[in-house]
Amino acid sequence: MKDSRTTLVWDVATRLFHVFLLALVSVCLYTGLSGGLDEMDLHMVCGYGVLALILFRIIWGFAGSTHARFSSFVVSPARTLRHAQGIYARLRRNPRSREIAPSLGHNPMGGYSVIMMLLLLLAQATTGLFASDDIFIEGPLMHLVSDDQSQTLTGFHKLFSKVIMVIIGLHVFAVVCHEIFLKDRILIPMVTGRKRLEEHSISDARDVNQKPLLALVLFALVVLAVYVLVDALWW
Amino acid sequence: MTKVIRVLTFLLLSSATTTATANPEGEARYRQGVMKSVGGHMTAIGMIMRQGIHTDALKFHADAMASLAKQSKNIYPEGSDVSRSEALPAIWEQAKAFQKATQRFIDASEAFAEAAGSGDQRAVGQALRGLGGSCKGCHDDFRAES
Ligand code: HEC
Repeated sequence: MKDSRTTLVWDVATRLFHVFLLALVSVCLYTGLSGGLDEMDLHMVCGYGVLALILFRIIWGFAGSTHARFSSFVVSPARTLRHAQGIYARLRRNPRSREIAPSLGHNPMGGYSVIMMLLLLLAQATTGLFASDDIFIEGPLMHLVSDDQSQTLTGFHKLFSKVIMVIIGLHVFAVVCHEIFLKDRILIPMVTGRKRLEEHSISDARDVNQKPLLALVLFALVVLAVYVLVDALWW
Repeated sequence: MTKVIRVLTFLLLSSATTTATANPEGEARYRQGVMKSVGGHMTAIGMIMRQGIHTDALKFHADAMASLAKQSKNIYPEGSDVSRSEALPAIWEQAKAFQKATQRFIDASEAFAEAAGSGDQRAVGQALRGLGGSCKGCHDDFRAES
């Protein structure tokens, strides 16, 4: 008989973070690449949103539930390498391949990709605050640096946008690989939060403690901080 | 008669064969000065539109922009793409396309000056988008990325 029990892996804050980040980054990419005056107004607001989300997620990486914590998914390079070898062997259908150690939350490689995406988006949102298009659009903190520095940071902002598109492509590719080739269902759980125990060869696990109130308070504080940063510090 | 023809031929030839500038650095710096003025008026226009201050100066900045746009036809002598300039070689290699970009700037700045004179807020916003688009169009193709 199939074991159909499920367990809550992703707390509601992490899931909402993910879906809002997807939406805001998409809008930012679209508006930023178009570069029109109206589009850029939207670009900046959504950029502040991305900054708030990333800052929240970093705090949540320490204060959140089990699988949202960095300490649960940032593992040693050796373990990450073993994991990568395991996946490679599985994809090659090598019968003597070792079992991939099951992980309910982020697997070792996924964990590092999360860290990389967070840092990259943090850098992108931050450089945007100091950027300018030399025409009509000025980041709210541009006056804190010299014109030359603003130009340099604008250059980074443009460069990072390309890197981000590549990384998003890799991220989607990795998820598709997990779903199709490794039969590891990770897409739906990032929406519903629940994973089937049997699929992960785990016999027992407790639902994570979502701490929704803490998440709400922390997020409100972060939004306030970003608001002060971009509005009160504007000149 | 032959004299007239000779003069005409001379004028035609001298206008067709653009000679490289004798003062590349000076020309590049001059160009940057003109572009800085363009940027300065754009910043002022932005503040007028966004913050609603100095609304009576909008026409002044729009007219200045239109004058600068006309002058911008003269700020790209051949050979002035010195290393400290952000002007791309495409300006001279694709002279036709570049001329079109300059004309677009001139037309857009005139349309903006006209709208600013009319006082019609919607027309001003529309024309400003056209003007901003003309800057971006040229920078995308003919100015080095920062
Ligand atoms: C037909 C092409 C063209 C158009 C139109 C144009 N630019 Fe430029 N712009 C350039 C080029 C080329 C440079 C680089 C000049 C150099 O470094 O020699 C430049 C440089 C600049 C600079 C930097 C000046 C400096 O050196 O500090 C600013 C600011 C600027 N442009 C603003 C604008 C604005 C605002 C508009 C529209 C209202 C505009 N430009 C329209 C071609 C154009």
